[in-house]
Amino acid sequence: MSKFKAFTSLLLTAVMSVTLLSACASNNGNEPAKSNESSNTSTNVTETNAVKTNEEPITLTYFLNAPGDNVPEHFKIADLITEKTGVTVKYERLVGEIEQKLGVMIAGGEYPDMIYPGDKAHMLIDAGALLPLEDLIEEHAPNLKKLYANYWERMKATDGHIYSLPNSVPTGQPNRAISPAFWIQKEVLKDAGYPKITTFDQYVDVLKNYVQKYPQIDGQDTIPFEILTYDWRLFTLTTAMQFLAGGPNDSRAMVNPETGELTFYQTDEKISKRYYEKLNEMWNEGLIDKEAFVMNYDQYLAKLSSGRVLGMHDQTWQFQDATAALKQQDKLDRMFAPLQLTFDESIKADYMDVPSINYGNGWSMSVDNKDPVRTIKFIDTLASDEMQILRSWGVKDEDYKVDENGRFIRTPEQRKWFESNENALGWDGKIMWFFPNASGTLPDGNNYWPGEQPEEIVANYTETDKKILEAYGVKTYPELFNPGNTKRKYFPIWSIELTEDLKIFDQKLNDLNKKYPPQMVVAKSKEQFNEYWDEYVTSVNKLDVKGWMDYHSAEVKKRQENW
Amino acid sequence: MELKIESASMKHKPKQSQFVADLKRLRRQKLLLLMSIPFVIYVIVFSYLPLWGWLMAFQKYKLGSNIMNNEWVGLKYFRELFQDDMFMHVLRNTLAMSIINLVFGFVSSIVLALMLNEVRKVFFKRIVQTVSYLPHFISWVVAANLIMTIFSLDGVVNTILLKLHLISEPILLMSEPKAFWWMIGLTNVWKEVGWNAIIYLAAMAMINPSLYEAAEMDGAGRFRKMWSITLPSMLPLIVILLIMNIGRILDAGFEQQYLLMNTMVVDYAQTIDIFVLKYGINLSRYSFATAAGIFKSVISIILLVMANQFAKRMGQSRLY
Repeated sequence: MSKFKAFTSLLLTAVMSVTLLSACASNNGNEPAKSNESSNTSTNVTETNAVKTNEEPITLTYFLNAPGDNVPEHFKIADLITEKTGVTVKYERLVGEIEQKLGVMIAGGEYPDMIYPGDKAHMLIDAGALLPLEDLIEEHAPNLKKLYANYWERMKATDGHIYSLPNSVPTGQPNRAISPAFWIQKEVLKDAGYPKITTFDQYVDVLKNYVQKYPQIDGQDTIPFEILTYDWRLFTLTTAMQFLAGGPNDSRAMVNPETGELTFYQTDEKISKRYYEKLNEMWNEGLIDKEAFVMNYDQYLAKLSSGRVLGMHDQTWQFQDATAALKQQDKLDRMFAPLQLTFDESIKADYMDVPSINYGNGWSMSVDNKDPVRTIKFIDTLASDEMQILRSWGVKDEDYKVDENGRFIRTPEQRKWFESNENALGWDGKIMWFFPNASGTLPDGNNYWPGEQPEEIVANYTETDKKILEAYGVKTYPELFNPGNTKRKYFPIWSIELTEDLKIFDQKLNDLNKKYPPQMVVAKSKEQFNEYWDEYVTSVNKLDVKGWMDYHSAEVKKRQENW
Repeated sequence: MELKIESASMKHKPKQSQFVADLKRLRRQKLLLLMSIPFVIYVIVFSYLPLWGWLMAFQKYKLGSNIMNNEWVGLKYFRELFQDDMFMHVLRNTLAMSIINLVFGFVSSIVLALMLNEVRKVFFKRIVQTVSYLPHFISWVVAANLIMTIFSLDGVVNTILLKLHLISEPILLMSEPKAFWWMIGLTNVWKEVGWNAIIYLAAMAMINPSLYEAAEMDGAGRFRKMWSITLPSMLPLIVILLIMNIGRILDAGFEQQYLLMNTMVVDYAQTIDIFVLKYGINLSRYSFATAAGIFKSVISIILLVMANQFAKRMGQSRLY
């Protein structure tokens, strides 16, 4: 499950970069004048931090365990930052396999100045490649100290040092974003007259009614329910039931928020078997895509983009490309709305993440860093509220406006401008999120990131969105969902670092999950289904489930007590 | 002749003259020696020096540490490898797909080469050759997407079969566990047949045309000539290639299976390399991965020696 981490961060970047993209419209001619303005603010920043900009220019290298568009050498925000701090950053994003890349780096013993190791920090820590940051921060970085004050102890690795500064530190009013959900095509909701859907059975009925009414969409067969099963993305099949049973996005076990007790639900008859059984019924009724277990990720996205898929369980970041494609084709009502479903009415849905951060997953400094003090001061400057606004919103009046109430907003033209990938890349390199940052609200009530600002969220809604939300009596989709349960201080389980044996357990369970659940879903008869289920349970129980549970119970207990 | 002279002189001053003779030969072949130096260096750097890393398999290796400072664990990782239920499974898959690939690959490329050799229209020959070897240059990532689209429910294959009324409902070939090995074999033939045929075509070009002329005089037809002249002339090459390929039998491939597999066929699709990636490298278990690598190498050497011995017995050409 450790992959979740890397991909959540990817998701976030993608979300941010998409939303970040909204500034700068037609101002190119005025650039020099504007830069002067911003350099004024920058001197303020530097004064408050007692960093002198007249220091020698320095170039720092930054490797990111996050594939993406090549970062241009110059882009607007970076140039402004260089002007203010004298620091130029040379970015290198991941190409290929991270294990190999880090393996070569470690074996060669040569590291870039800064590293964003994602969920692979432990490899670098084991190799002694990262610099402990706590003393540097105490001494030189008041902004960072403030930003991480509440999380200071939790950020420490097992050896007591802080090596990584995680992103999206919940600040002010924490941001609420929907990631895992059961999704339904907006057109289906519209056609059914915006019914209230709270259980999985109701959801399936709505899908069934729609497909009976419209067996084809745009000349192709309607696909009532889609499942993404390609490679490790299979978790959308094998962890979906935890949500139906009233849990958040944990991993293989569900935690009782009151007692902190763990339940291993993968082989639970009332949870997993119930879900697979329902899917099996759906399969035999022809409600699930026949290719669900054969297609790869690209084919999955292509199907969603075609507008003929009515529903699926997935996490936002996995199908953003499809959403963008639907938008581009102007099939706005074929896009998806999130639902929080449970097995039955008595179960309270708990889909939302508890505001927390990915500990041990963030910006790090390598032991080869040219000038650690200068670097930490640079990062500290970037983490000041003023610089964070520059990194996310941009330059006032150029990239965003401030209305009479002090709210940050973007004009429709700016929003449109930022939708283009090219514009975004030349603006913030789609990379600014990868420095320590806050998520939530500034002291003045504005959000740190445009994508979190309610005005900006609502501005992206279509007519159908507005009708859907009106029908359910809310303003934004996140309001449809129950807020994260703050009693879950441990959240999430998947961020617990695994021992080597548990990693093997995890991989083995993944392999069993790849083999059996798909067979259960496509089983032709109840007997066959039960046969596969029994075989699955027997095989899983051959693994050291108890060892996994003991370890995780202890870790959850530790977190519940100390966090 | 040379040998006789050498052995004769050996009787008189055995050691010294042997040495002198060797030196003489060295000097005579100095150009050849010079030319071979880069390859010797290549082999030393990329094949012999890394053997040092085999030590990793016998210790609890930590990345970035000095190889001599790790804890020695003996055969722990080999035991783990052989005791893993999955290992036998992936070994079976690897062997099955390898053998299918070997047989399909050899037969198809030899047949294609034979047929191309018979084509008299140069233009047509060139076109066929180009078209058949182009897929070789497509990466498996692209090829896999092509294949999956072609065999999908609304793909070309199903459309054609439906139109021809050969099937009443579209079938999903890629989801048939039993068909997966054969799909691997077939797609591999599609991708590599043209490329592999090149070497045979080259060999055919070397055959002395007078042999064909003589056969024609004796009244041999096309097939007779193929059977009695072309094939026997190519036999040494075929045997050499076969021996070399048998040595590589545990390399059934990685990308092809990795990209084409899905949850329905996963039991038949995982090869040793995929297993090592998942349980070794991806989990930073380099020692485990090395142990698997050693196992593969040892098996390869054994198979190679056996194949070579067999060729020797049969009086065929061989590697050494």
